[in-house]
Amino acid sequence: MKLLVELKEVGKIFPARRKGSAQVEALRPTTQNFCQGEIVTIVGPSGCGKSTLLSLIAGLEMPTSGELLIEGKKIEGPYTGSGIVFQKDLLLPWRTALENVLVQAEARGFDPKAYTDRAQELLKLVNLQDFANFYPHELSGGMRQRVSICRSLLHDPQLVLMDEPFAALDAITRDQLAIDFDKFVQAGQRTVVFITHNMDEAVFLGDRVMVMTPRPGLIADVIEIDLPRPRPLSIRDTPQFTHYTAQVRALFMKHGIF
Amino acid sequence: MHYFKKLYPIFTVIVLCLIWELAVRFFKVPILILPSPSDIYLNLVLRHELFLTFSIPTLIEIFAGFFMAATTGVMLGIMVSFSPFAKSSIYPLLISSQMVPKVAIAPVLTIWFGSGLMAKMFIAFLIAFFPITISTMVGLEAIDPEMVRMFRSMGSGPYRTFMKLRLPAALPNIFAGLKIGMSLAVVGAVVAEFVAADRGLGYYLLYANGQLDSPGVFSALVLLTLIGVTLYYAVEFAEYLLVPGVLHKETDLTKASM
Repeated sequence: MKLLVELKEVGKIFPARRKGSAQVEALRPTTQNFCQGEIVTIVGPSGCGKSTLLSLIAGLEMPTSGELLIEGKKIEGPYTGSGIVFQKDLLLPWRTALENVLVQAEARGFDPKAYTDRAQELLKLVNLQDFANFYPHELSGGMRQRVSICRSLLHDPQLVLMDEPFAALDAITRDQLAIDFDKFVQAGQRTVVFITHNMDEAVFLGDRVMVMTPRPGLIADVIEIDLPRPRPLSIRDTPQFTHYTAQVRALFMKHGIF
Repeated sequence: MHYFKKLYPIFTVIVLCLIWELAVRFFKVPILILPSPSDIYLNLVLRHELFLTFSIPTLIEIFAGFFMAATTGVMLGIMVSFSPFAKSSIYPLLISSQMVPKVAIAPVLTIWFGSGLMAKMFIAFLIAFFPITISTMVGLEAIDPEMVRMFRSMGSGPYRTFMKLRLPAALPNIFAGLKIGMSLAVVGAVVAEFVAADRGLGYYLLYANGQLDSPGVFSALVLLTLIGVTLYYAVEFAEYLLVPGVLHKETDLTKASM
């Protein structure tokens, strides 16, 4: 498979906040590759540096060591070829669902009119076609997060970065979004980096699962998930699935998380 | 029904005026102590030309002072919220400048600018601009930094982020400040006319007071109140036109108590 994102000894150290306090090594120098069309989930406890890793790939933070390449080019500022879904939906309350999806075009200085059809299509893809003219406060948490997924996809990015997008949702809503996940992100065509602290979610969604451990932030192991896509919810009850989650748990236990 | 409810305060005023009228007649209160609403009304009708010519300068002072306060206030608010340097060098001075009793500077300003429009406009401006600056600043700084980060990840520069995110998000706060500023501009103009003037409703109020012309005093008061209320609702109407409905909120006028 073709490489999309290459991390070469990428590390991030935050300087000491106060005099006397130690600097924080958020990410120990890491070498990893992300291929085109694969879905990589990164799972780890809070504070393990997984969000830092995502910010580095998005170009919102700069590494303090090593270099990060996307399509062979070194990243030196926000990488605008990506679409990001944040933990909070970050919808603008004064804009309708449709207008919020179009924020992606307007923030880039594009004419939103040229993107209206595509925005409508995306809303239809996530079953929100009837809610295009609703304001965020009129939508449920799950609907709002679906709008924010549409926003991240408007410019048809080849790289989608998701920072715990389902963490703030209830378990049932989370499962509903997980079932349709492949359809939403057009699995196989886009590269997806998905951050989560939920082991089940990581195994269920990922082609590969990177297991991160904290202090310093480190990718302890990468597990290939050899389960056919699209995956039904019932796959969680199969021995293969529990075998993978057990593997992740064993890694966490080895590193003293549990 | 909804619009009908908006008329309730007017009914309250009518009822109160009726009670006032009846009480004055029943207890035979001398006109010097408290003229009845009908006395005030007759006085207004009888001398309407005089009141008209005296209202115009006051209106101009209020308007000019408010306009100056609005532009300066919003600009300063934007500046202080954008530049840490401006914030640390100007903001503390702004706060402590509010400890100076501005009404007490009025005589000094009269010495500098004479008894014309200039001095009065300046006093109205001085009293009105502070809440506008503060609410602009508060509005601009209340924005979720995650939202700013999202715009940055979409490649939006500071100007576009300001126009698409910061300014619309701060508009309700800015208008809250403008409404308070408008009511303070009325106070400023009247105080300025108290100090030195040869026309205007404030001047007339003092003059009528000196003549023991209580209906005259109350007529000026009624007109000043009408002007204040009208201008307040003019700002509210501008808000209605400019601020998206979902963001509308009640302004706490108690902050404007002087």
